[in-house]
Amino acid sequence: MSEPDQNPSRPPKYRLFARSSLPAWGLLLVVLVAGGVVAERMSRGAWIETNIMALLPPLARDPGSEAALRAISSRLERRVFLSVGHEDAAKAKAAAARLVKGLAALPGTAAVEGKLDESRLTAWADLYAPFRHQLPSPRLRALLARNQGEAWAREALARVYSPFAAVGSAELEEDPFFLLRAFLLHAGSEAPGVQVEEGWLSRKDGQGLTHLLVTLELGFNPYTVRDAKAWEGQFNALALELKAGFPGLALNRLGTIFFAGAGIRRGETEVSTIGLGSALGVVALVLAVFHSLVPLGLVLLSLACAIVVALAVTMIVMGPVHIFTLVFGASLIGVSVDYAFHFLCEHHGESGDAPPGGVLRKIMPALLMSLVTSVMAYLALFMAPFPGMRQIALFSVSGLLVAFATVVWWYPALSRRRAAGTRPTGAGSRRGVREARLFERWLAGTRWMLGARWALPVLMGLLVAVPALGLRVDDDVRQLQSLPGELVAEEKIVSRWMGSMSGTRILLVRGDTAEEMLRRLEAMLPALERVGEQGGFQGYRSVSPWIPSMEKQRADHLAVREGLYRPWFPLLAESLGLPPPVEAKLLAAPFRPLEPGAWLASPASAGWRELWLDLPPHGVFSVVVFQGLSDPAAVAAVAKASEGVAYSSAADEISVVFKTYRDRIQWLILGAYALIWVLLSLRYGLGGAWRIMLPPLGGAAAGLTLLALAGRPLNVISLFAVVLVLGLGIDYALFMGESRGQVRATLQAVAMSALTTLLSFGLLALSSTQAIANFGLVAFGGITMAFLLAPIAHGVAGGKKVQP
Amino acid sequence: MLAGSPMAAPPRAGAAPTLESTLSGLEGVGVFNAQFESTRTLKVLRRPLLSGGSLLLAKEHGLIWTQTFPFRQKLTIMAEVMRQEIQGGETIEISAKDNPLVFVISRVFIAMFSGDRETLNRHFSMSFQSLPIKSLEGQGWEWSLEPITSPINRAIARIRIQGRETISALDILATNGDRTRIALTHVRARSEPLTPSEVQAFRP
Repeated sequence: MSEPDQNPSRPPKYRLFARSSLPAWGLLLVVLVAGGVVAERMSRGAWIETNIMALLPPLARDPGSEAALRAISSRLERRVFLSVGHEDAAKAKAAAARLVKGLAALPGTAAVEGKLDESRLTAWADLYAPFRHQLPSPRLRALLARNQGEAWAREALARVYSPFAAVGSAELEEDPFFLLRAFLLHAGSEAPGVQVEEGWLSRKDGQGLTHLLVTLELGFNPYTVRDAKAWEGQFNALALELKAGFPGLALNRLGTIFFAGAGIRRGETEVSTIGLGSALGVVALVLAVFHSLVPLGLVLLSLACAIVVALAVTMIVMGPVHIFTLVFGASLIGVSVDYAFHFLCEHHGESGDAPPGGVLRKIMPALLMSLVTSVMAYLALFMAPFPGMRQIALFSVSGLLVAFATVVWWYPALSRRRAAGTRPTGAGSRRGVREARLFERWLAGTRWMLGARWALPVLMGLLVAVPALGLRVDDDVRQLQSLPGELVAEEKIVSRWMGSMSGTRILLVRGDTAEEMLRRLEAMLPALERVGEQGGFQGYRSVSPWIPSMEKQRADHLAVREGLYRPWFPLLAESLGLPPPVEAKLLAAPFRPLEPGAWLASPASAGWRELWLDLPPHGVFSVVVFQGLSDPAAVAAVAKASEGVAYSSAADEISVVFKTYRDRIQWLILGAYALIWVLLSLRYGLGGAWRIMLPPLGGAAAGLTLLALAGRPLNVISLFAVVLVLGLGIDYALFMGESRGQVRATLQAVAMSALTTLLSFGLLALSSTQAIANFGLVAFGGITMAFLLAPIAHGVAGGKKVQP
Repeated sequence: MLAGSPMAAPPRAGAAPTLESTLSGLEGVGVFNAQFESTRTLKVLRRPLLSGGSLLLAKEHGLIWTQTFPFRQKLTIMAEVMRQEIQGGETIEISAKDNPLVFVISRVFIAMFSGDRETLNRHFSMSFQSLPIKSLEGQGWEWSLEPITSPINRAIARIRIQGRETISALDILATNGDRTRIALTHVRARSEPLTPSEVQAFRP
């Protein structure tokens, strides 16, 4: 790069920015370092974030629960459930066996389980057998409470005679009342319709298909794009191969990875569509106006540097870049080209040998004002404790600063060298004449609006009245994530196995110790079961049946001995001829505590221990997950009435947060623009400030009007589009207001900027995610209006009279 | 006794019964009635447990096992649910999902009485021999089933079925050495559907 400028006659204002070539080289260094940072982060893989929850501030609850919820959800996120269904049970088994083998071989699969081996099947009995005297099934507990031990004794007797009960000598000797059997039956009976068939967890559906369950755990966070894509690609290949090998196979999936995968694919498509769309738009416009690729090269250089540095800054300050930041970052293209276009149009309009330093001096006030207002507005966003907003603000501010810097420090030198190559379309050319007429009408139109006392008030009145009357507000976070229908259907099938494991609506039980947590869980369950009986949900899973509190174990031990063993063993002994030592052993059985640690360490807790969380110093937690939860309010009420129990619904809580922050951001924007207005008044006077503010305000109102007319709701994301419209609108007005050279060049710059921005946001409006589409709609209406109104600001800085 | 039933079409005169011919004979049976006498010999008990009653097996419905001695209990086993009624006690319903083992055993039971090859082949390796003794009631045979699938193979070592025209006795040998012998008398097999009163018996 050559020295930017050596013109000895440069004015002092310009000196500030190009005293030497140092800033230019410094900028180059910054861009190169940023490029290195970005390349290094990308090569590590975990640079993009697609989890919608990462956009949100920590939810307002105690840090312990927060940590517990995060830990549990990250655990649940790694689980994958697959259901392999076939009309022919034998084929289903063969297919499932092959699937298990294939999955185990995939890199990224941490563990996979299909056919349970004998040790797993006996693990339950092995763990619980020594504690059987204190583990009555709920029915036995109820009988004992009513002093009806005899009924249980008679059932036990009948079972011994039955040829189907498979009662053996050993069991009769150790457990003549069949407590262990009854306990295991009850505890394991929570997944309706599931049975173990030849080691497979299997279920028959209404269409006669036999479904077998295969579960696996991923060795990576499913939201990391590279790992998730690699694994899902291999999984899909495996699934195709399996379906080809077993015609008629129904393979259903449940797991965060599939949803995350769909989100990633959509994000990528949208980013590339939007990016491509605006890139093509920029190329076409630059070629049409300048008839040269050199300005295009300059614009692209600006954009590339802006985006690379924005990415690097975001990565360094905030870690992984969210997919939303990228989507909105792609629209940064439309913002930062402002500066480039402003410079190029101004430069282009001058004669080929005019010094570029002069161009810069002419547009510098406009560029600076624009930069200051944009940065102010984005900094206001940065103050919101909303990670997504902050990231987008940081991304935009750093991108804008770099785009500004490239124009100031690189363009004069680069364009001076190349200027001779461009062919100016002066006022004399045919196209120049057409363009000039168009601009003249545009200026005349806005002058007329300013002149006619009623025109502006009517327009603004309309733009304010429509959204004020017709705009609906909807803060439901679910419109941010539109899940593919096919996945939702599959999830329904698979969730018949184990209830919804997505963990979006759960109960979180906390205790200082495991004992306290278990007691609280036990105290809450009767009320919860009443909700279930009234149809509030179809089923739930909790650790409670598997690991009772010590208090309960002790009470049960006593009740079993005094209510069953002591009074009713003689009946059994007499009818069956059981020898006396059996009785002596039963009555002498001491209480031995079944410790949670033993349960957690046993293979018997597989599939359940993920509901348990030891999180010092916050305490011990467990979650209750639901299947077919239809009355969340009733469940929440149970939680509220129970000590140490919290109901958590990520989606509902986030919607509340969305509402809170929509409110807050409204005020932040109002505050920021009030400040900007003060700043503008200092420079342009009250009347001038008003004319500068009119295009952005009119644009914002027009965007909301369009949203209202389309029947779409306002939420915090579409509000963010309003922020962008305000930022761009004020740029246009400032460029017009500060226009000191030919107005035609400024109009051209504003038109080009607006057109490229419209191109990119027009594509956003096509997004399949409703919230992003709404964003696009607001931006589309807003920028169009701000652009049309921009000439109103012309001349506020006391520039020459309008001479298009 | 067996006139009119498909089981009354025994192998051609002189031909020894085979597993194939026995299964084919059982296959045609729709409804099976018998009286049973069960003797359970458990090592831990000082004396064998004797019980008796009747059984009704209908391919389309399931099995009713009515024990009348030494106390009354009725087990009604259907495809997805089992009902246990005990003299003087409450009726308990158990669904297949709750107690898979009971259902596997009773399904095997039903499969044996109805010659369900698919189920039997899946769970057992089978052998068959015709006994040298001939009597007026036809040639005797012994059919032996060894379980090959879990969980049955953990509980049962072998099942021996004896019969002539039809099944006359079952010997169930548990893996731990316990034995259950079920002797059947007054066996009536027929292809006709259940009578209304029999259907009623399957209802709670």
